[in-house]
Formats: sequence, C-alpha cells, structure tokens
Amino acid sequence: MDSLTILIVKRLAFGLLTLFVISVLILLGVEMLPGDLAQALLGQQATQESLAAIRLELGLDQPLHVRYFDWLGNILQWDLGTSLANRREVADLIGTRLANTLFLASNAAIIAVPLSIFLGMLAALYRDSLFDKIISMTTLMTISVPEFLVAYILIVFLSVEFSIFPSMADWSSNAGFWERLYAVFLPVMTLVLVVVAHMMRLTRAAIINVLTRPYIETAQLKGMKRSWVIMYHALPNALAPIINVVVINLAYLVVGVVVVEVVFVYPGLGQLMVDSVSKRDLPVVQASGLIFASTYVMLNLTADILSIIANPRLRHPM
Amino acid sequence: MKDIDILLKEMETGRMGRREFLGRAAALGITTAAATSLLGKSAYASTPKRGGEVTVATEETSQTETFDPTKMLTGTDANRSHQVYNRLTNLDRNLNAVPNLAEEWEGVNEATEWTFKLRKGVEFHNGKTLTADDVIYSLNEHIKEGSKSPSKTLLASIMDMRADGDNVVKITLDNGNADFPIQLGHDYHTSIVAEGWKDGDPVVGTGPYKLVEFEPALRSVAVRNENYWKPDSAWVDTFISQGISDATARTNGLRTGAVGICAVDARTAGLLDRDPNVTVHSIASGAQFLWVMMCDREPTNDLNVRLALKHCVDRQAMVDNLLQGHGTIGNDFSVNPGIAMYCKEIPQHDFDPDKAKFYWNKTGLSGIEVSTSVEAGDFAVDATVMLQEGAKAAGIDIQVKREAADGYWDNVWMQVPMCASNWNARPTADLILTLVYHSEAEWNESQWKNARFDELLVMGRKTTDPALRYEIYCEAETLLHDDGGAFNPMYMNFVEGTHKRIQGYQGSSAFGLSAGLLYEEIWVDEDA
Repeated sequence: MDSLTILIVKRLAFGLLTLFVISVLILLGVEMLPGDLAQALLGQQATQESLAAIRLELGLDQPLHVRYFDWLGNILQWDLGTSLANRREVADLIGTRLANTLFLASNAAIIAVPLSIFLGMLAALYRDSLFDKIISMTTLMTISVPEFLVAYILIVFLSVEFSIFPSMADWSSNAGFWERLYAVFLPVMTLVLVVVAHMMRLTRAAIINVLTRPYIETAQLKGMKRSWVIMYHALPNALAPIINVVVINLAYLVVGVVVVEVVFVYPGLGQLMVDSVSKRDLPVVQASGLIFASTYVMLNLTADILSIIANPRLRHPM
Repeated sequence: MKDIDILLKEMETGRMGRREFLGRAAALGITTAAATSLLGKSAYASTPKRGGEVTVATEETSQTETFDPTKMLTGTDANRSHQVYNRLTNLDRNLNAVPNLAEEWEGVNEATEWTFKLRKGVEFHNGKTLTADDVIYSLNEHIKEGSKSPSKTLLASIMDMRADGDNVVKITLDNGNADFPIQLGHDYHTSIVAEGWKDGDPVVGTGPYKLVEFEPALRSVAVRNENYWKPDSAWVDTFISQGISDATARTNGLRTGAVGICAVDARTAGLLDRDPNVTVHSIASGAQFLWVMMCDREPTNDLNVRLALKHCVDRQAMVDNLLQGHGTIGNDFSVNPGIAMYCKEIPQHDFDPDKAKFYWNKTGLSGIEVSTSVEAGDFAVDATVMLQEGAKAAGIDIQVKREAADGYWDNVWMQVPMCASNWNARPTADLILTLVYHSEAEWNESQWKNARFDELLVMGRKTTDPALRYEIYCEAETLLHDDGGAFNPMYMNFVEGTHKRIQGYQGSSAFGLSAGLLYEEIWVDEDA
C-alpha cells in the first residue's frame, strides 16, 4: 500500500471514532437541556397524565444508557430509527432536507469558489492598486455584516421594492430545476457574499507569500509576464492553504447556514435540527449532528488528500 | 401612484372622508373628475368569484404537524383542520354557536342531555355519507381509555353518546354545561372524521377543501371540495398552508404577495399598513397576558402584596406602548369584554401609587422578584420592566428576572411566586375560569383556591337563564378580581395582514386567522 492509502484508512478510522464521541456528546447535550420530549411537545398544555402516556409510548421512561445503546445498535445496521416527534423514519425525514441543504450549498459553492480564487489572484496581481483596495473593502464589508442583515438588504431591494426574486425560497413539489434555481437565488447570493471575502483574502495572502520566493524572481528575470508567473508558478505552490480555506467554507455552507434558512423559509437540514433540538427529538438531532460532523470529517480528509496530490514533495516522501 | 393608493386605502378603511380624499388627491395633481372615478373603482365592492391560489402562513412550524384530531397541538394544526374538517357547530363573530354539521340542537335537564340533529346528505371527500356513528366515533377517540388527546379533560364530562337513527346524536353529560355547543364549535380537536379513521389513513373530512399534499413542518396543499355541502362558499381553488416562524420572513412574504394571509407583529403593524399591497386587520380578543402571583407561598400569598402590585402599572400605557394600541386593558379576572358573561360592574384596577403604597406598607417587605420570559409573549420582558418602573412610584422594589424561553413552562412557571404567563382566547367565561382558576384545575397556575368560586362555576355552567347566569358569573368574577392571584393587565388583539388580492377577509375573536372562517369566505381578485 502506498502512503496515501494508508493515510486515508487511518483518517477514516479516526473519523469514525470522532463520530462516536460526537454522538455521546450530542446525547449528553440534549439530556442536559431542561425538560424532555413530552414536555416540549405539550408545553403549557401538559398534564401529568398526558406526559406519562407520551413517555410510556415513546420509551422515554427507560434509562439513558439503555436508550443510547439501542440507538447505537440500530445505527451500526444503518438504521437511523424513527423520529420521536412524529414516528416517521429519520432517514425519510432527513433525506429531502439534506438534498435541499446540499442544493443550496453547491449552488453557492459553484459561484463563490471560482469567483473568490479569481478575485484573490487579481488582487495579488494588482497588489496595493485601487482595484485591490476596492475588492478588499467590499468583501470585508460583506463579511463584517451579519448574514441575516445581508439577507434582509437583498430582500428589501430585490424582492420587496423591485419584485425580481422571491423572498421565500420554497417551491411546490413538482417544481423543475430552473424553478428551484430561481427560488434559491437570494439565499445563494447571501451565502456567496458571506463566504467570498474569507476565501478571497486567503488566496491573495497565500499567493503574495509565494511571490517573495527566489524561483518567482527567477521566472520574472527570465522575462515571464506577471500574470503567467502567478498562474503557473505562484498558484500551484499556494494551493495547499487555498484548498484548506475553501474546504472550511464549504463545510460552513453545509453546516452553518441555519440563519439564512430561517430568513428565506428554506427547508434545509439546519432548520430541522433546530426544531428537533427544541422538541428534544434525540434520534433526529443525532442523525443531523452526525451528518454535519461527517461533512467536516470528509471535507477535512479531502483537503489533506488534495494538498498531498498538489504537492509533489508530500506525494513522494523521502 | 403609490401615494394615491395610500389615499384610497385610508378612504376604504374609513380613516379619511370623501372630501378630504378629493382635497388630498388634488394636492397630488389629480383632477377632481379623475379622483372621483378612482373613488368609484374603490367603492365598487367586488362580488365573490371562484378561482385562485392563496398561501396562508401560520406562526408555528413543527415536525409533529398532523391531521389526526386527537394529536393536533399547534396553531398550524388548528388552522389546517378548518380546511379539511367540520365540527358539529361553528362560532359566529359574536362567539355564539351556529349550525355546522349539526343543523339544530337542544339541551335539557339542566343542560345535561343534548340532542344534535345532523345535516342530511353531507358527504366525506371519499363519497361516504355522514352519519351519527361518525360523530360518536370522532368524539370518543378523545375520551376513550388511554387517549392522549389534548381535549381529553375538556370532553371528560361526556358520560354517554348514542345514535338515534342515522341523523341524531344524543349526548349525556355528567355535569350540566349550557355552553356545550360553543365548546364543540370552538375546539378544533372535535373535528369530525369518518368512523374507523386512523392516523395514517388517507385524510378525508367533510370540509370545504380536500388535502392533496402534506409534508409536516413544510406545507400542505388542499383543493376545493366541489361537493361541499354549503353553497356559495369556498371560493378559492387551492389553499397552501405553511408555518413560518420568523415574523420578518412572514411579513416579507405578505408584502411580495407570496403569502396571502398571516399574523403580523403588533409592534410593526402600523408601518406595514402603509404598504399599499397590505391591509392590516386588528381584532380584539380574549388572548391574555398576565403575571401569576402564587397564593400558596411567600410572599404572594399575602393579599396585600397582590393588591399593591395590581395598582402598580398603567394598563392603557402598556397597551399603547407594547402593543401599539392593538389590545385592550384587563381587570384581573381573565374574562374580556367580548365574552357574553363579562361582568360590567366590576371597578377597574387602575395605576394608583398611593393605594399601592398603602397595601405594600402593610406587608413589611422591601421588594419582590418577578420572573419573565419571551415565552409569555414577545413583549413580556418589556411589560415587566414597565411594572418595575410603575412600582418605583409606590416605593416597591421589583427585581426583573429574565428567564430562558427553553423550559420556561417546566422550570419557572408554577414554581416561582410571581412570573409572566399567557393564555389563548377562550369563547366563554366558563372555559377560561374552569381551566385556570378552579381549585382542582391542573393548570391552576396561581394555586388560588376558593370554595365559593368553585361552587359558582358549577352553578353557572348548568344555568340556562341568561340573567341568572350573568349574576352567578358576576359574583365569581368579582371574587377573582378582588382576591385572586391573576394580575392580568391586557388582552392582545389578533393582528393579521392580508395581501391586496385577498377579498372578504374578516378576522374572528374566537381564534387567530378568523378561526378558519376564511376558508369559506374569502376570494381572490387579481386586479385589486
């Protein structure tokens, strides 16, 4: 086996361990919250009798470790269990929500990643020029403002004042691809504005850092055009940090967008998880939490692999 | 043309006279002739017509959403139930019971024996004809052994139900209840399903709309029931029902037309009303905000503490500042003026620092801690701060304790001596008083116990003579007002917005979003 395969296997094993630890943490976290599912469901309407009836039906009267190992046993057989709140299969419940989340994230990523790397390269190329300053100012502004405010500003102008795009990013069940794309335009724009700054700034910094190296100087002394130097000598050597920041932002697009989902009434996984936490619906919280955690584990792994592939020295260690 | 739209709206809603309209239109550079013709267009009340699609947005969204009447919990469930189902009776806008699936009814023997005569020829969405057995099955699902229905307690007084032929249901109650038909008209859980229906079966009711699509916490889609038994109603083709918990998102939907009807935040309703695309409706209701003062523990078990505090806040200022006027003041007995058995003779508790000081000096206390949380209302923290300010004038030191919303009803409410609380509107005095103030009530949040009061509740419930009833309730309400542990400074209006294409919408004080009456009443005018 080559070193890359060994690394992947090792990291996957660690990933599984991480997921196990996280599942215990989620369990303890939800358990520490005041009240249980029965109380969360009934709220002010609760009576002792109805609370007891619900607890008995859902098995909430069982001790914590019994419930956890039941759940763990099922999950090892790929069974996510059923939601306590509505008795539906967690897999069904999460399936469409996850698809929605990934749809939003991938659309934002398709625009944001090339855009920010491109802008970052331009900013490095025209370093300290007016262009560089304008780009830096604008992106810093969009990242400094909370995402919901960016969202509201977009809604006020593009939806309420000039009815160009819908303020509610939802669609009927038979909507086609383009209809969906139109519906998510504003949330995608919001996310793009939020993530571009981070990636663009880091791309710029990474490339500028490489530009101080002797081999860049050599290339320049050879008479190579500056833009070619950046394209063929600087960018490949700056890829590792760029990949890392891109991956962090991709993870954010999947995991951290619940506020944007709420503002645009977008039925993503984040809203489902928040709703489930407030209902103390442990199986759904566990499943969503593990999906989010696996997203991080997998993306981190991808980042490392890509960095190794991009760097011949890491690919062929002595 | 936005300005003229605003003028037209002011005119339609009666806030501006014709003369003023013409004058202000002239100021906008519009000739009198042109303005008069505009007026003609606006005054033309369009007649109901079929067609269109309307999204109704409710405030709650939850994975527990269901069409099973025994499991419904949220306002979203309640709202959807009115599309698909009917109840035996309905409530009109004066909170009286009016015929629905039952054409007529009668209660005899101190209102313990009820006979409901069902409308003939009513069909479920699947073609099955409604019979007495369906009604008995539907009600029995709530009270049968092991039922987890939220309405179990409310319907527990049903002793026996019998069918007398296909179209008559006889119900015997163990305690007389003259308000029984009102209760059935109000409680959306008493929706009638077909005999044998179980959660998971296709959803069929007798209601004006048929369910075609349903995803909990997302949306439901219902289309017109062409076979609906009530003629000249249910004008809209398709209703989409969707819970949107974020008030701003709801409001944005309303302004852009994606949402047709929804509840709006009272605090921003005035601003929203300026949008020519939106009409704001504000309906006085019995939904109440209150501070609970527990009578079974220090220090609120001292009547002087309770009386002192009840005189510490300017109630009208609370309504004006916290609800922007979308509310009415309360008088500490939880029954609002819109209810038939509201006692008019009880003197109003006013802001009176001297009186407050008088009672407080007898207690020997320096201050008191009051817990509050947004769970009791978006304004509950501000309200408690207003109380704190008012109390300062009487030399009473109130510490406002902000509690987390999560778990508020388990860890704070009915645990601490004084905290903020709220109750939904109930259509009769009996329902709210029995629910919250009867000595044995599970939700007796103030633990105020008064034997005479309990006795009056039972008497009032079974009395059918209105004058005698009024006297009984007046005595009970006076007891609660003078002695009780409820400090109920205000009732919140139902504040709702409709997009301009929605016609014929009228709210109801029985429940938010017109208690479902909108599904039969509204129509769409795309040119409006």
